[in-house]
Amino acid sequence: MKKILFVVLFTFLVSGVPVLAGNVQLMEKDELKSLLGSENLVVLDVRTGRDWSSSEFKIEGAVRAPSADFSSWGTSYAKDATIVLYCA
Amino acid sequence: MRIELFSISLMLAWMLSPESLVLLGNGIGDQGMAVFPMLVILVALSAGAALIVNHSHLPAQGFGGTLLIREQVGKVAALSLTLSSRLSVTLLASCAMLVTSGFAFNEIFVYWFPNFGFASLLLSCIVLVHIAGQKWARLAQASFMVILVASLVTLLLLGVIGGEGAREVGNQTTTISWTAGANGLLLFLGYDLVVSKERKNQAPMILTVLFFACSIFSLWANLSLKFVDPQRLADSTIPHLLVAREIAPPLGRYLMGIVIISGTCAAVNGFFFFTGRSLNHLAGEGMFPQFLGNLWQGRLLPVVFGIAVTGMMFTGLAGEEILEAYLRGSLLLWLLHVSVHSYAASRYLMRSGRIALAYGVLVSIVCLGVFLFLLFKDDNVVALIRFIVITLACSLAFSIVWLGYIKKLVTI
Repeated sequence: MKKILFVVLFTFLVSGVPVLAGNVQLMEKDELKSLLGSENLVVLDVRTGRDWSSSEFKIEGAVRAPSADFSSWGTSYAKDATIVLYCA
Repeated sequence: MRIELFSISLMLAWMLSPESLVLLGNGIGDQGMAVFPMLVILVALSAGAALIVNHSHLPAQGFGGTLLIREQVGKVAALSLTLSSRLSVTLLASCAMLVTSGFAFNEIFVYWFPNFGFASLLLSCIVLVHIAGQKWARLAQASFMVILVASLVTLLLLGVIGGEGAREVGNQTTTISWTAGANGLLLFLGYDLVVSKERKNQAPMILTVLFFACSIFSLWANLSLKFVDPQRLADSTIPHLLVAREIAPPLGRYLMGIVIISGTCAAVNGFFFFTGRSLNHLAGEGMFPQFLGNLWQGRLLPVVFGIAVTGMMFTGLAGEEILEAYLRGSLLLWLLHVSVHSYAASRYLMRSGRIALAYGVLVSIVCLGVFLFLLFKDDNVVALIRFIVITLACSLAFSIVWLGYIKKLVTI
């Protein structure tokens, strides 16, 4: 009985996380491409370590914003701006 | 002859690895024209160290000089230095380079193939080759090296023959950067990975390899300065790709992709082989647990390395900035090992009456000096010192416990 309860609770929490995380949309690359250059757009490159340094490609105009330093850049941008975080 | 070719491939594996290409590219950017005389100084110093640690009058025992260090400096020092330097560079450099090659494959060749998937695939292939046996590991090493050298030489030729977009190198800036110069000493490490069953005069082979590597580096430096602005090279994390892209678009990118992937395979395979065999030999001497070193004819160790590297990749170490500090620390430990190895070799040679080779002590002091310089000059000095101290402490603790345990068994 305890095991069943644990599995149910675990499943509920896992499925509930997207709800708790708020309304975060995904953006396709073509949509981002069409927005590049617009004033209201902020592209943040959240890759860290080798994920960033080994990559040949960085989106033009993207600002490097490692997640570990969130406290330093988290409040730097206007709330009404379109902020795109990319990691791959 | 086969052993010589294999030793050459082991020596070159680090020198032409993706990590070395980044070090080289950044150094070229920092120093400009000064990189050419600096390379000459560095290769001369490295040749001095190489000739001492591989001297034909040293006893032909052990891999990497651990037994020589044991004889001259002490068992505990020998084992702890070997474990800390060899294991750390094998595991950390392998993790870092495999991730780099994963990105290279994904971004240059097959965009839909996952980076980590490719890195894991490469690692699996290398471990399987080692499970198959020493013969296959040697064959794989030779194959990787042939592909690597062929691709790199082709790229260099394209750069020399081509020239569109090239600038005059003679008018470039010249900056003496001691840090960049000291970093350059790390480029030529690998000369202590010579494998030989019997001591004979390996000086011609070693000097040929060092001269070859220096020539490649000099030619690459020339092309880099011709095609890319030095500041971009100094600041980039992929300076070698920047140059390759300019040399012969788009072929240059593909060739550099092959260089990165084959270089990774050669380096990882080489490290697994050399470190594995070193520990096998130590197990035979009672300095390392026999069940690890000799089980399954020594094939267990590369599997253990593979599991450790997989663990590092899957726990996200590659995405942590601290990996660069750890990798740097492991390279400095390798340099420290060379320093102690040179000292041990020169003590042995001096006791045998070969006074002319006392310059080995000078080589040892220079290597130690560069080790300390690079350590304290690093931006991440605290993390670096912490890594080196903890690694040495752990290997020292293991050595004391294991060698004490063996001594007790022998006494009983």
